[in-house]
Amino acid sequence: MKAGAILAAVAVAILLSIPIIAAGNNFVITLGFIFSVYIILALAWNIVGGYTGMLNLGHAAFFGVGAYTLALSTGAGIHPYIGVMAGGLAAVGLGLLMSPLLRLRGDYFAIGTLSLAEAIKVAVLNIHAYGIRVTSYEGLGRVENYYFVSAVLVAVGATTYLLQRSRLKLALVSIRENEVLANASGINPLKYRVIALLLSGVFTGIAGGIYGYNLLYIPAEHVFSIEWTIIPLFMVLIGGRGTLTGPLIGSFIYLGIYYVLQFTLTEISLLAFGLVVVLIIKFMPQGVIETLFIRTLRIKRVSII
Amino acid sequence: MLDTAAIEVENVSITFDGVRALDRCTLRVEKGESLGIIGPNGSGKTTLLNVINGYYRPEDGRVMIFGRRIDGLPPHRISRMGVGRVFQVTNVFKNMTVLENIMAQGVWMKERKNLRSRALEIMDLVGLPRNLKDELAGNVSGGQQKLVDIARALLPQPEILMLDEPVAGIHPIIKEKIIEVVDRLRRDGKTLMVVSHDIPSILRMVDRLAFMNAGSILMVGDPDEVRRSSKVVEAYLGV
Amino acid sequence: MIFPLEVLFGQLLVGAILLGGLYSLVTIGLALIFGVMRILNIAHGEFIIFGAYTAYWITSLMGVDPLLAIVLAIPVSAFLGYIVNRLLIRGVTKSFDAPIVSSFGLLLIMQASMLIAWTGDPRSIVTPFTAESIHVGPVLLPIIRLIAFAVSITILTLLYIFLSKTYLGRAIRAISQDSESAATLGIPVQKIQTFTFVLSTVLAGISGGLVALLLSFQPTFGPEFLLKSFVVLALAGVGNIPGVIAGGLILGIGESYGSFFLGSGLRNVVAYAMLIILLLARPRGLFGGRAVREV
Ligand SMILES: Nc1ncnc2c1ncn2[C@@H]1O[C@H](COP(=O)(O)OP(=O)(O)O)[C@@H](O)[C@H]1O
Ligand SMILES: [Mg+2]
Repeated sequence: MKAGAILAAVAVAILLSIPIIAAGNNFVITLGFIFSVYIILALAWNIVGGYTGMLNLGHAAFFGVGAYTLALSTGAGIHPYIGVMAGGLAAVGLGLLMSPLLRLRGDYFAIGTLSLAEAIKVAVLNIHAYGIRVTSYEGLGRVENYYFVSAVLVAVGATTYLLQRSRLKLALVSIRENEVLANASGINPLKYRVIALLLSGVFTGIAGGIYGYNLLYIPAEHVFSIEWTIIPLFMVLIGGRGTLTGPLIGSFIYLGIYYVLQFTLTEISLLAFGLVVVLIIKFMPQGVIETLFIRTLRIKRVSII
Repeated sequence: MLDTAAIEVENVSITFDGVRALDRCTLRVEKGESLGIIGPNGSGKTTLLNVINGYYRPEDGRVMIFGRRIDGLPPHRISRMGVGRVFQVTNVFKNMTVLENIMAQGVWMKERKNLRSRALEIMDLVGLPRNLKDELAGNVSGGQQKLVDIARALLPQPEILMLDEPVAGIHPIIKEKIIEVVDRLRRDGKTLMVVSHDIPSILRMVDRLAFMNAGSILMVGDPDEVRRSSKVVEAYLGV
Repeated sequence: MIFPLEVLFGQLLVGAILLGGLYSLVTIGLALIFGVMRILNIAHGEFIIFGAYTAYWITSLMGVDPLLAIVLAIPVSAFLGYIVNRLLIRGVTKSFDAPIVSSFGLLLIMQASMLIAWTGDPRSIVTPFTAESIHVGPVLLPIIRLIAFAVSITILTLLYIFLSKTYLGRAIRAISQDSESAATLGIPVQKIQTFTFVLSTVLAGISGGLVALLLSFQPTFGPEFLLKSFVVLALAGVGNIPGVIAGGLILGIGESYGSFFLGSGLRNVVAYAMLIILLLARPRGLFGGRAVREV
């Protein structure tokens, strides 16, 4: 446990010192920013996809709604960071709208959320075919945005850490494992699933907002793109779902593979990436954490909470 | 108040696709007693427990717990009134650890603290070795899963516990443990309902025995008397 | 606004029905795999596009008739389906989400391969009768759409007869009801699942060939067809063929009228809205009630 705390402290220290180390190197700061956004999304997706086991294929909608809300708020003269938080709030609203879908069986939930996200995307594209411009704010630039996103990352990490130790996790995982039995133990499945979806939504909406502000231009096609669902999903599945370390490790593996492929195999990177995904699911269906660390290295599992 | 029973089932009937699973079934379980139910396969024993738990709503008749009418209430409400249940089919959350399995039963409980230490105590009580606490429940033996199942039911300290075939298909060593646990609960004054085919085992867990056939309770009384009754012998040999 | 009745119930409705028939065929492959193997094949659209390209290349390189090319493309789709099932699907079918993710990987592989092999240029199959129509009263019936509709409905009817009348078809249905019981009855579950998967990819391929006759297509168009199939599937409920036909027609009608009244930009929104409302109101599908025959 001590080792974990030290590791976490070191990670946060590195996270916060990147702009200082990078010393104005925009590429490094931007890369750090993007990576942080992806990791936030992975941890947020994991709250629903990992702990409740409901495959949310509409996650991108939270992101897009967050970005769009930010753009609309700055347009109305609101401080951008308040607009970002409003993005999180809007995503919560969307989560409430989505929550009736949580009654559905797993595969229908996947279809339903995917279609809802696509519907929202098409509807937005119909209004803004290209996207909208964001009004920039004096003194809030790349570095400030980086710190903002770091704070969100730390918040979602801490939330997951606390969730790990909460009764909420017991409820979510028991519903995932056996809904009938959980219900017989006095647990109301819908209620807990909604809580998880809203938590997942708020962080993703905020991430979408800050991402949008950092871009200063919000192409609808891009912020509502399904990649904001699929990439976090891969990160979580690669690492292992329903844990804190799984999505983190998965994110690093994913980003590593992805960027290496991008720079080496530019042409066929997507193809190679598809192969990697298929192989991981085939040979490590439980994710890297379970397969490598717990089975192969025999690291002991503990009941936390 | 003196005459309220723990469980009263009065003239309860229920039909599935034309099959009368319970047929004007009547039964009374006193507070603090342990009642066994025997009867041929398909005679309605599991269905009777399911009606008391609230999984099925009787078409006819009424069910009362501590004098309060409960037929029609949802299962989680009845569960929170202090009615525990161990199912015939062993049921665990396979990808959760043994300890988490037991604690899951306490998610809704008011008491915020001590959930973990209470779960550990219950592991001791049912004879689950503490070193199993971090194993995935899906990885421990079938008998141990049954113990997890029983431990989970015991976590909220229910006044009434219903066990459906708790020793069927269980390894003899664990079976012995389960019988001991149930016997201890009986001596602690819990109200128990135990369904079993295994007559030598059930005799060690109950004070009275009921015999069920074709959806009704045909006989209740002293275990030895019921066991030797010609009605019972006939029903078992006749089928 | 006032629209003449003959537009609303004539040309528009006929066009919608013809389109809907094709949507049914586009969906049936997805519905079969979902019904029998409980796998949501995210790469379904790629099998359709692959079928479109195969037919396209057969007809343009070998100069054969486009309809014959669709037939000649069948073994190619079957082979691809067999390989994919062998390498990717078998063995990962235990949970519902592992196949979803691995078929998503497949989507990436197929889409990227097709882009590399055939570029992103839009293609379409041109036939001698591409621009021809028959007049029935005031209504114009494009021949090519009529053919696509007729082929779709014929194939679905044959499939229905196959599933309800033959031993193999009954075995497939038995597995879709309960694969464990089917296994204890001596039905070779794994072989039949392989057969079903191959059959599904062949059906997707044929529908792709028909799509190529009607529209121009690109390697990236797969997901669009996947989503349309989802809508029809949700309308139909798990794999019953009459439901799939009805679902396809409803989608065709909904889309056509939706884009007529709301503008073509919202065409797909109509489809998705239909889907979501349906999922919530009838989680088992509009025609997926208990009494309906399941695949
Ligand atoms: N959910 C149900 N649906 C249909 N029939 C049922 C259901 N539950 C029980 N039955 C029928 O009710 C009868 C009694 O079953 P059960 O209570 O399980 O018997 P026992 O536990 O004594 O073996 C059986 O004929 C069984 O088939
Ligand atoms: Mg029984």
